[in-house]
Amino acid sequence: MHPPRPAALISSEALNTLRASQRMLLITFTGPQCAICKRLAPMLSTVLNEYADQLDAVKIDVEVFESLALEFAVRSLPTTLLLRGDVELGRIAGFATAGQLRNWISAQIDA
Amino acid sequence: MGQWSRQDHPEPFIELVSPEHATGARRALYDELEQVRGKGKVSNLFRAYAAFPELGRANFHRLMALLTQGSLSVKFKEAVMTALAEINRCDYCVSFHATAMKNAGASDAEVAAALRFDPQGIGLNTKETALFEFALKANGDPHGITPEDFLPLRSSGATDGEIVEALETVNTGNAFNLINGALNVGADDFLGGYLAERGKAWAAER
Repeated sequence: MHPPRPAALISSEALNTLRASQRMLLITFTGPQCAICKRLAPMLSTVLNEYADQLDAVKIDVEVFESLALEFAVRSLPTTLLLRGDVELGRIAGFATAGQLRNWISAQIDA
Repeated sequence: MGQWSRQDHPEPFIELVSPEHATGARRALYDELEQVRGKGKVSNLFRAYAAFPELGRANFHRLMALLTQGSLSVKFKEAVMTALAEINRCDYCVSFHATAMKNAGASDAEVAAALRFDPQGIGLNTKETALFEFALKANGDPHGITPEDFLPLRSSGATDGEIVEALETVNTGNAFNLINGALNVGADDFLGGYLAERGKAWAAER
């Protein structure tokens, strides 16, 4: 069994380390009162396990990391981004099915 | 027996009266249920519902209307409910609906596809593949559904009735997941422990 993904971000330094690796990185911004975030979670977890060797993933609580939410111009929850280093490859605002997430991630990996 | 994922609570939170001890309105409900599944075979879900027999009967009739009426396949409906059970982490419900998927002709690989929310792997026709995706999206964010979400449904020939049928499958799955989850109702013996490992894995994550 895979551990649940994505794991919660514990520090800004940890995020900087991930971004510096130049591996594809998925970030999902969530909040404790966000019901749609809870619905998105099993979709993300399932799909991220399928791409475990190809991208890193982290979950950011906007109430803990408000500055990161501002830095990434997060306007609603959930917001899910794909990055490589400092380059944003795309973002999804709101809920997405596992199928939508697979198509989105695959398109970036294959690009 | 409680859910496999609730090893801290081995028993259901309400009494599940067995068929041999049922009386009165509960007995009448069990008689109706046994006509479908066989003498003495009353699922744990409906043993829980039997605490309020009139609601048990209403939900049984609702379930029969869903599974025996309409035009969508039982395999499709059980695949949707298998996916919902996974989302809602009801291990009894995963075992039940995955078993029903197989009884409707699904392979183990197709059950696995439903558990990873992958309609392309379930072996459904184009219309039901589109409806499966729509069902998951509506379940995730019903107020986020827009007219654009109906385009793949209409292009595959789905009717209004079939769209409602798909959404009611979501409703029914979620409703039964809630009853089983909140009351810690565990899997029926006749499921043979199919996919018990899902619940045991969830227990390990607690």
